[in-house]
Parts: sequence; structure tokens; C-alpha cells
Amino acid sequence: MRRSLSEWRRGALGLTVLAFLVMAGGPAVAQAPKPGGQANVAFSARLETLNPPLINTSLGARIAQHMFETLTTVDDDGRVRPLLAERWAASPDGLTWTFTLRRGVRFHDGTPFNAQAVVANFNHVLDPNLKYGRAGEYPVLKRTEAVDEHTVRFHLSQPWGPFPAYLTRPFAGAQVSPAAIAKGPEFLARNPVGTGPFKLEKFVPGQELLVARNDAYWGKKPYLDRLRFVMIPEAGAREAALQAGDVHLAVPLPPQFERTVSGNPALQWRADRGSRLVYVGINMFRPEFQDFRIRQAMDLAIDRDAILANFLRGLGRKPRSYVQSVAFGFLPVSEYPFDPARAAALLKEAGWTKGKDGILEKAAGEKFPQIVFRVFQGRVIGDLQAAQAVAGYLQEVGFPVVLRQLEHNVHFAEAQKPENKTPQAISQLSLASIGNSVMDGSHTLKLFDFRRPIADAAFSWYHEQDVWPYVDTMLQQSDPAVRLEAIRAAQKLMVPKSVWLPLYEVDQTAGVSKALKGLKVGMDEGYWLWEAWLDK
Amino acid sequence: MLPLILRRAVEAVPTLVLVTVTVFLVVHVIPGDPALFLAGDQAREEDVAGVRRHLGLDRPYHLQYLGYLGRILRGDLGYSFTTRTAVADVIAPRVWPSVQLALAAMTLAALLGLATGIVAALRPHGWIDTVVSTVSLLGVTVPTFWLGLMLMWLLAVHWQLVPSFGTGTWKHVVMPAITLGAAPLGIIARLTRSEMLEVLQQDFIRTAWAKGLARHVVVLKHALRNMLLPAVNFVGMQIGIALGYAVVTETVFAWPGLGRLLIDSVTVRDYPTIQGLILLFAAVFIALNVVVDGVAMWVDPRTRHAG
Amino acid sequence: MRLVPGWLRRIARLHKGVAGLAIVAVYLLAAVCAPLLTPHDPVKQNMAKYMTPPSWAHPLGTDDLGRDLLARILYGARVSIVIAFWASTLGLVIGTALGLTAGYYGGWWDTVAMRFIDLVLSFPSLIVAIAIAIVVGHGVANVIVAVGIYSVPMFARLARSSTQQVRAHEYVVAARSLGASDARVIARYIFPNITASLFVVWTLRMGLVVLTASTLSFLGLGVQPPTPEWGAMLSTAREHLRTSPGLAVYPGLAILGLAMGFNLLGDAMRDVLDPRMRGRLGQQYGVA
Repeated sequence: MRRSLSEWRRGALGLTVLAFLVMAGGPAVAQAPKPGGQANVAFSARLETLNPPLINTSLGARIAQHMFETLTTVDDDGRVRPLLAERWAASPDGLTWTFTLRRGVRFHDGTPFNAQAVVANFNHVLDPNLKYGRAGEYPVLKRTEAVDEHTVRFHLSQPWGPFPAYLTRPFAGAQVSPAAIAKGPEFLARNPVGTGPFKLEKFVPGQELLVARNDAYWGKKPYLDRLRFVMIPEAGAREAALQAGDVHLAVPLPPQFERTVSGNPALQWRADRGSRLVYVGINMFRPEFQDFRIRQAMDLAIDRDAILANFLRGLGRKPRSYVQSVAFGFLPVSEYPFDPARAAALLKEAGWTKGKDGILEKAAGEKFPQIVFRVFQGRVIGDLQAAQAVAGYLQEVGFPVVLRQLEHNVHFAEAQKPENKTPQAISQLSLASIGNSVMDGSHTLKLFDFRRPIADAAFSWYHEQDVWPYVDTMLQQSDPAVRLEAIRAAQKLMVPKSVWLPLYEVDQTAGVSKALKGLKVGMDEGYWLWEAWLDK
Repeated sequence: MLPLILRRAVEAVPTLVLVTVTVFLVVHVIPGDPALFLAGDQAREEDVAGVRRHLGLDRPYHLQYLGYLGRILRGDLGYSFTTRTAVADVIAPRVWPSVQLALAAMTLAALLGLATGIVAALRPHGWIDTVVSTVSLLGVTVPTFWLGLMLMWLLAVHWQLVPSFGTGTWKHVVMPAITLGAAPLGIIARLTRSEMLEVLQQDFIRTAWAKGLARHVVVLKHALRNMLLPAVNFVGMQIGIALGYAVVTETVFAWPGLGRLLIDSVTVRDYPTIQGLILLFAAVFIALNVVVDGVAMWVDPRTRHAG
Repeated sequence: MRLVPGWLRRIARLHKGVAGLAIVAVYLLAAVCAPLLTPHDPVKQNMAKYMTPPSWAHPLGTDDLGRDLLARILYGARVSIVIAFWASTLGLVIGTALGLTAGYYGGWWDTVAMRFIDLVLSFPSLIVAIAIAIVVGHGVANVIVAVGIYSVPMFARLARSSTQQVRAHEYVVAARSLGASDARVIARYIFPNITASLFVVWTLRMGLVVLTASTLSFLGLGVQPPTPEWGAMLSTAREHLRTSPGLAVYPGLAILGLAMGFNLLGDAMRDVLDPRMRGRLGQQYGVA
């Protein structure tokens, strides 16, 4: 049937107007969250147990935090905010902290959340009979006391300024129902009874976790009916699942998938600032590393911009200090320039020049001792490649570096060996990474305090005393202004010493389906779906 | 026949004991520290030492081994370091996925391998034979993990024929089964072909042809009957190998089986789980061999006194 | 004029023998002549050339550290062939020593040795290799040890059964009853008669060793970086499968090719040198 041209034009005009109307009103309509549905997430970490002190990975802990909550939480500005606790204060001597708890909160099994529950939790984690090992999270906590139904008092053996920040860590701080605790570790492994917005529906250890909305949640109830977390260790397989539409979120995805994810119009690539710093630790007990010019030369020899541009595809940040740029007290002390010429000059000043075989030697012919660079693979994005690049850069200026790739567990164990605290230790560099879930500068700086040796400090074992006063202040004082001063001063002191060679701060990269909205990304691998919804 | 199987089973017991010793030794010789891993990066030395004491890792080796052996004899595989639950509970849910994968892969390998091997032998040096020989050689020489990754990309992402992960339906099993079954398929095909060729050249076959029997009757009735024993042997041999390569396949496809559990346990040095798994593998392997030998004896009584 | 030994000539007459020989020869050539075939250093990194696609300068492109992929594959042939050769030989030497003595002397030594072999064989083979690799650690030498030990049982079994067969022959029995020393009997009679089948298995085994070594590297247990090894290259490549599949395809093909070459060659050798082994009892030696 034929229509006149004017009819067509009118039709076209009408359609255009309609289209504009839809588009103008569209975004407003599409933004209202739609309740219901199940979101699927593919993640890499191995989750074998839902008993918080036994969860060994950050990502695993973040997933568990959809069911568990802590007394406090940290927002993106690094400020500690109330969660299950409403307010807190320290006594003047800093040895007692009093927390007032939120009212009207219940665990998933109906047990009320109160001070007695909090006491039960801390006693459980620090129980000497269970030996969870997470006791190290709260080294100075002596006793937890329930003053009344909604007030808890923590008694410390020493003042500890950042205590509220450390309560945000879920490993020892997650609040579990006392009724569940009473049933013992075997029960806790499969039955996560928390206070969170989601509760357990099905858990297959090492395979998947299915959680459902907690309709009795004290806060804003989630939109999603269900969340399914699937464990897929291979990055390629995670991306395949995302591309196939089998999952809505694949985390983490290494940088090289940016192109393929962005190339799919249904998907979106996410790169968010992270709090993980990758660095090289120098064993400070070895005699050849005592001359700070040698260490500075190492710093100058590494081209961090190239590493960022190549392995990380720009999805990371150049470090400026030993504290992550997102943490409280961060001070950009160094530019970390790439200057091999200056490195060579410094080395020459220290008496080392590059010999004919490319290895540094002294005038008398003494060669620089061979350096073993211990590295691992697969823990952090770009770790092994960056380490290989670093080895190459160091070799260029003449350091005889040889790579030793180890499994991460072995690498960690090697660093702890007592002989590393003597000058007879093997000449070593260690690749290491450190997160900062408490978003506080003291978290990294306290590693330089040799009086408080913890496992993470073993990669460099800095043992001078000059940093001790600052560490004492930042750990024991609660006044933020005072702490800030100490944190900054410590950075100004330590960074020029080149005890660590920071390499990069890694961005958190993931692939998301455009249908999944309301995803909140926090630092230290926090992918939160509490307020997420599906737009279908 | 039953007494023979029983005798083989009894003979296997000392081997199993030796297996427990070996497993215990190997696991404790592996460098790395489970206590350190469990205590976390904030741990002080006393925390790590405490965990070590709690897990019984500071006792002398022979005492640890005797404790371990005693528990095994009572059927107790111990407690996993990482979950503080019984090892048996950690292992149990993963048995069926592993069995499922092994069954699927071996059925595929056995059926296709036997079939193609027989067909190839019927027309040696023909084009079917060449194709079969080449494909089976490829199956044997292609690296398992490479095949897995390629299949995943092709079938799950590119053509979207099957889901990329998960278990439950036959669609989920297809890719891992092909990946795991490729090598056994190739081997079974080649072995079947050469065995079938030999059988076809035997006198009684020629006699049957001379008598004028139809070719397919000859093949079906006589030749195949003679292939039964060798076939059982071939397939039996391959199952054990497949168990080993399942580790790689499960890693690539995130298949929740025992192989992946082994790799994961080794990464975190969960000694009890590692020991329990390897013991289980060995026991299954030995049992399989006993069963295969038993079936072989049943099929062909002549082998009962050989070897 | 017998420049070429008879057995080699007979092998060459078989198609698969020719194919196998040719393939292995090509790999050997690539390994030996690598420096001539490529101007690039397989180990030296160059950030500026991160993952470039194939070009005239880099026929297969570059990898994630800017190294020429073709160069890494060519030099990787050296690593793989060295590992294949030494691991097989290690297995051969230890296995033959065990098996021959067990088969010849019998008695308690036989029982002990075979118990040990059965013990190793009661685990799925790859698990054994993984376990040894974890214990000894990374590095080319350690990979050789791991894969070599994992090969011992098969050689031992073969040496033992062959020795038992030869020992039962009339002339051997006669020689012993005439007072010949054990050493002489072994050297003159046993050894020469078992070398053929051992040689076949040795060749077949090398194909399997290549696969196993690359699997170990893939699992993160093999050689140390920056050694160019095909399995290790595949391990890095698996993350880049979608963006740069070449990184995975070429090393994979390289592994495939070498394993295939050894397999074909070994097959042909078996057909020629030891037709008895063509049966099912013989086939198992090369493939597990």
C-alpha cells in the first residue's frame, strides 16, 4: 500500500519526537534500582572455609564481608567510620577503649548482637587453645570486657592509636554469632552466621558460595535476591565466563584483558585505585648494602615508568613513598627518577665501576657479591614480569643479580630464616607486596621497627633505631594531628635511605557486565555488591 | 577367580604401608612452612610458633608419623590445617566430580579409541588409517593444558556452545573430558590398531575367510573376541595416567575435583590434606590395577598363570 | 661400504622413520644453529617492544618482556633437547642398573628393587614428577632430576624382564655352567641383547619427557626465569590467550612437534629393531 511522501515525513517526525522523549526520560527511568535477580561473580581466590580467622586471602575476606560485619569500617578517604559500633573513645592514658554498640542488630540465627557477643568473638579469635595465629592482629589487646548490654571496653597493654582502624580488618574483627562460636571450628567452617546484608544459602568449599538477601538486616537492604560467587583460578577462564555472559563480574582481570573487555559493548572495564604496593626489599644486614649510595643507585637504575606503561598498561601508579598514596599520612617524598647515569656516578663514588664482564668491581679487582633476587609469580598483577624487568635494569648498571623464582609460601618462609638477620645471610633482594586495609601510614612504616618484628618485615630487616620514636608515636597516640606529624617525619627519614625499592601501586582491575549496577569498589580488593542491582 | 583377586589385594597391603611412609616423608621434605602461612603476614614469631605447636609440627618426625599411621588405621585422615575440619570432609565432595570427569574422559577415549583403531586396522594404509594415525599421534603429543585453553576459547567463548565453567550437565563436562581424554584416546587407538592387525593376520581368521564367511561376520565374531583382553589392558593402563593429568585439566577448567584440591593444598602446605589425597590416589590406582588384572583373568583364563 | 648402519637404513625405509628423523633433525639443527638463525637475544628484555605483533624484524612478534618470540623458541629447543636427552638417559642408566641386576641376580635384591619400583608406580606418574619437582625446586638441572627419576620405573621393568628372558637362553645357561663370571656373562650376553629394546624406549621416552617437563614448567615448577623453555612460555601466555594468542600457539606447536618427532622415530625403531615389542607388552613402555 502506498503512502504519500508527506505521510512518511510526519511519521518520521513523530518517531523522532518519540525517540527524544524516551531518551530524555530514559536515563531517569533506568536509574531507579530494580529489586530482584541473582548476580554471578567469578573470582580467583581459593575460599575453603567461612570461618573468618582462617580465611587467608583479601579477596576471600571481602566476599565473606557480604555476610559478616566489623565494629568499624574505613571509607575511601581513609577515615574510620562506625559500622556495628556507633562511637568510641580512648581513655587519657590510651590503655582503655570504650565502644558503644549499635542497637537492634541481630545475627542471622536470631541471636542478638550485643557486648557479650563482641567479647565472645575476641576471646574466640585470641583463644590460646585454638591457636588461630591471627592473635598477631591485636598484639596489645589484653582483655575485652562487656560493661553493659551495649558497651564494650578493650583493655590494652600499651597505647595503640590506630586501634579502631585495625578493627576494620575482618580476619580477627568480623563479628560471628556466639551461638555459632560455641559449636566450634568445624561448624564455623561451613556456617557463616554474621550480621551482614546477605546470609548463607549454599557453600561448596573451593567451588562456590551462594548467598541470599537478609530481610532482617538492620541497615539498607540489598536489591539483589541472591549473589553467587564462583571460584575460577584461571584469569583466561574468568574472562571467558564474563564474555559468555555466565557471570556479571570477573575479578581480578589482568591488564591485558582491557582491550577485549572494552571491545565488547555489553561489558565495562574497571580500573580502580588500589592500596597494594609492590616493592623490592633489600636485606639490610648484608655488608655490601650498608653504603646508602649503593641502594640509591639501585633506585635510580629502575625505570618505573616503563614498567607501569608496559606490564601494567598504565593501570597502576608510580610510588612516591613507602606509604601507599591512598593511606592516611601519605607524603610524596621522592619522584623516583630513572637515571642510570647518576646511578653509575654514585657507584663510582662508592668505589664500584662496571668491569669488562659487565659486573661491578672495585679498583683492587674485588667483584660485587652475587645477589639472589627472590621472586614469586601470580600473587599480584605483573609481579614476575616486573621483577624480571627490575633484574634486567640492575644488571645493566652492573649488579650481578640472579633471579630465583619460588612458590610464594617458600619465598615467605625463606625470608623468615634466622640467618637472614646476620651479615652471613645470602645476599638477597626480595620481591614483596603489601596492602593497607587500614588505610593508615603506620601499617607499612611499622615494619621498620626492629623491636616489633612481624612476618612482613622479614624482606628487609631494617634495624636502625632512628625510626623508633616516630613509630612509637604513630602507634601509641590517638590524636590524628600528632600521628600525622610522626608518619610524615618517618617517611622523610626512611625514603631517602632506599631501604625499599618501591615499584608500583597496583590498580584493581576487573571486568563488569553493564547490566550490573551499583557496584562499589573499595581499596584492598573490596568489591562490594551490597547495593548492587541488575538492569535487564 | 575371587581368591586370586583377594590374593592380589593382600599383596598390595605392604605396598600401601610403604606408600604412607613415602607420602609422609615427601610432604615433610617439601620446603615451606604451613604454620607461617596460617598465622598470616602480621604474625610475630611467637604466633607462628604457637600455631606450629598446635598443629603438632614441632614433634620429632617419627612420632608424627606414628601418630599419622595410627589415625589412618582407625580410618581418620586427620584435620586440614586450612579449614580445621576433617580431611575426609574436605575430600569427599570432590570425589564425584573427579570420578565424573574420569569416567567421561575414559569412556570417550575407550569407545572412540577402540572403534577408530579397529576401523583403521581393517583397511591398513588407507586414508582412514592415515587420518586415525595422525589424529591419535596428535592426541598423544599435544600438551594437555594447551589443548584445554584452546578448546575453552573456541567452544565456550567464540562459538558459545558450552558454558565456560561449572558442573552438573553433560555440557559442562564436554571440554574437560575431551582435554583429558585426548591422550588416552590416541594411545588406545594406536594400540588397538596394531593389536587388531596382528589378530587379523592369524590363521584362524584366514581359515574363516577361506571357508567363505562374510567379512563382517568374521570381524565381529572372531577378531573382536580376541581383542577383548588387550582392550581391557589398554584402557586399564590409561586410567592411571589420566588420574595424573586430571590435575592439569582441572586447573584449566576450574573443575572442582581432587586434582585441583591437590594443587591448592600443596600451595598452602596443608599437610594432612596432601597426605590424604596422595594416599587416596595410590589406593585407587592400586585397586584399579587389581580390578583390571581380575577382569583380564576372567576374560582370558590363559593369562592367569602368566607374568 | 657400510657407512650407514643397517638398522638406520631400515628405519629410513619406513615413512614414519623418515618423518621422525627429519623432525628431530630439524629441531637439533635449530638448537645448534640458533645464534645463526636469529640475531636477537632470547633473554635480554626490551620494554619498548612489549608484545609487538609479527613484523619483518620479529617474525613471530615479541613477548611480554619485549623479547623476540622466535628467538626464544629456537633457543628453547636447546633447553628442551638438553632436558629430554639427560632426563631420559638418567632414567635409562639408573633403571637399567636396577632392572638388570634385579633380573640377573634375583633373590632378595630382586624383591627389594621391584618393591621400590612398584611403590613409585603406585602413584599416577605426573603426581610423582610434581612431587619430586616440588622437593628439588626450580632449575634445568632439577627438572632433569625430577623427570629422570620419574622415568626410572619403566626402564627398570623393561631391563628386568629382558634380562630374565635372555638369561634363560641355552647359551647363557651353558656359559654360566662352564664357569664364566657374572661380569663376563652380563657384558657379553645380557647387555648386547637388551640394548635394542632399551634404545627404543629411550627414544620414545624423550617425547614424553618433553611433554612432562613443559607441564611442570606450566604449573610453575620447572625452569627459572629467564630461561627460554616452551612450557614456561605457555604459562605466561595463558593470560594473554585472547589478546596475543601467538604467544601460546607457537610454543605449543613447538612442544607438539618435538614430541611427535621422537614418537615417530621411536615407533620406527621399534618396528625395525625389536618387532617382538610391537605387541601390547611393548607398547606400554613408551607411553607412560
